[in-house]
Amino acid sequence: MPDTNETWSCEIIDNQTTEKLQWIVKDKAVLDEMLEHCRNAAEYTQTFEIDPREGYNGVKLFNANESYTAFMGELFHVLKDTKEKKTDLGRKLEKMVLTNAPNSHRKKALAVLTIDFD
Amino acid sequence: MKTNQTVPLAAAITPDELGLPNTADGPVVTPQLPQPQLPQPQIPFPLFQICTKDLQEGCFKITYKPSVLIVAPYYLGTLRVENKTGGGKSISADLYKFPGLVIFQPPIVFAPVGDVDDGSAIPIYARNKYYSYLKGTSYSRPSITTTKCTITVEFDEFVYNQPASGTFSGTFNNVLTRKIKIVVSPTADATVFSGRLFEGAVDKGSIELKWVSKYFRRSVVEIDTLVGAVSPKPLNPGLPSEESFTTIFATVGWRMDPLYNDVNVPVPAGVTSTNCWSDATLHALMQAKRNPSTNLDAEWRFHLMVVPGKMGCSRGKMYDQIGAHREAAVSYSDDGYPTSDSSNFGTAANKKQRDTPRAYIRSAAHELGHCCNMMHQELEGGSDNSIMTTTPSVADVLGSATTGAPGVFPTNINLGFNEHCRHHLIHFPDPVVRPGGMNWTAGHPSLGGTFAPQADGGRIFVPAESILLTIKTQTDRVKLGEPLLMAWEVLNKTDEDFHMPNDIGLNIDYTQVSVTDSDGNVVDIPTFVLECEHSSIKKLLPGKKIAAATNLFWVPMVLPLQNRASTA
Repeated sequence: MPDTNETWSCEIIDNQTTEKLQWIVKDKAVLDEMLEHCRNAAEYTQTFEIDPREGYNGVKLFNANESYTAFMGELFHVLKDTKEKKTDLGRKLEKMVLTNAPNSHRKKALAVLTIDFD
Repeated sequence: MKTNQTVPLAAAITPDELGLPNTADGPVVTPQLPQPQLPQPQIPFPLFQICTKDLQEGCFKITYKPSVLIVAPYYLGTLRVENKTGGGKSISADLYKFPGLVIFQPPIVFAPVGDVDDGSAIPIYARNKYYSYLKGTSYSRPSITTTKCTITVEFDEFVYNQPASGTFSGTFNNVLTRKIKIVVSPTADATVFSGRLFEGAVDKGSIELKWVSKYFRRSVVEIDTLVGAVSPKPLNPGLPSEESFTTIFATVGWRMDPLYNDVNVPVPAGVTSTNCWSDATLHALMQAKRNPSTNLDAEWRFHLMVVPGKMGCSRGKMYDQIGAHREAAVSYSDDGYPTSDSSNFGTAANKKQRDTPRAYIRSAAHELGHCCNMMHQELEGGSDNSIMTTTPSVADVLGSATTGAPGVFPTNINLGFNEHCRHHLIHFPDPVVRPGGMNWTAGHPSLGGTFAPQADGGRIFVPAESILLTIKTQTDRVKLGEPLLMAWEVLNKTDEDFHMPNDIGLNIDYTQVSVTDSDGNVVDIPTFVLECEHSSIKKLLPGKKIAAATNLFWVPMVLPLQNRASTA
């Protein structure tokens, strides 16, 4: 969806729907907070892996060249050919993406927020 | 205002015992009647009796029999009376409808009342009999009366739209169906009040309220544990310091009995028990292992499946949005408190739930709260140290030893629900909170759920004896068509302040005026304008009064001044 480095989009990752749960982040303040959180995130030091599961599998913040994928505290950063694993402390990126979902994806975001953050 | 001059039997009680109030002519005295009593002298004052009985806090069983000559449905249900901190009551009720029988015979359903109030006397009725929710809007109980001691409770009734046969999630219309009023009096049985149910001025039938428990609701949770897993257990069981599902739900007035059932439940074929489980797998296992006699129409029975799982499974989940919703949840004993979730887990950091008992029972109770249709508090009033806030947020609220709320995780976790959830759990309609009732998120429209009515949490029922309402008219007689200036005032008779609207005028809709004609027809007199921007709720100090007035005009529907006008 994004075609420039300046246009950032969000996605709710759900492997049980064919619907594209994506939108462009229009609120610059929200985007800046997301990016600051991601760029300052610490290295992921947990000893366990987060496996994919049915349904909701996290969120993605991305542009044409770069992406951050967050799920259950893990944060994967991909920039061109480099990959790194960071910590989405407190699942902050997930929560920010979900709470800022536009009306078109609000119902799905609320469904995740009400049941997947125990 | 009409005054009832009948002399009640309570005249036999002496004035001293009653502590009757003085009047301008001196103390009210019950005349000593000469012997023999005939002829009886005319009594100059109405005789008073003190009304001491009140609807006590807890659950009442309702029996409502409409007054019709032919066979008609009758209604059973429960009424919950909650005394609010700081005064007042919140009252709500649920009615279940049963087909009429020639001989009235209630259908059920509960165990006999024993010496110990364990909530077992609270009746449970079938979901497909659910009829309506009653939202308490007004409560009055005179402390002294010249007539029979009565308690009046007014309700907004919301009739439930039953779902299609075989399904369980119906709907409520978001406008009330009708307003009703019950007027009940104490009986010889100290636990029973009886009286009549009215719609407007029309007597619709008899009603009986029988107090059955200090608990508002009752339920059980069956706990099955997979081989290799460890279930969340009570701390200090049997001691005053016990912390368990029972004590956690007692904070909202529920009786919740855990039933630790099967242990070493075999792992289903094709499942790795140390992974995070799919909803469908959990649902199938629950159906296979749950007590086969489970009947959600006779018992509010939740199910908790405990499996090992692993770190990163979110500690637990109310997975059941399959078929009838909210029957069950899962707890992962081998998930825990990773530092990626919060940097404030303290001594629990990176430990498993099975090794952190207080935090473990909290997260399992959190899932049970979801089963009762409770939402994350981050999405409602905000994070706090209570059961329905997510575990990492509780840790962050507590912070470290030098930051956040007092205490640290997990030592100072509050094993109780907050006031918001308490109000929901006591006053939401039965189908919203009972297992297998309305779908997940019902009662939370802002979170995508369907509408459900609920008794007001902030409503303060000021006892009738606390205020003096005086209504005055400019004149006793008016000509046809002549407007009548009418004024009213409210005096705080107590030694304490209480909250009142700062304006009790018609224009703000806190006061309604109705006129009753000589045939008993009641007509509401509306205000000409609505002017409410300045309205607020403020304290009315002891001895202070507020007042308002209006001109009462003749309207085509009724000749107002033939009889009486009243404010409510």
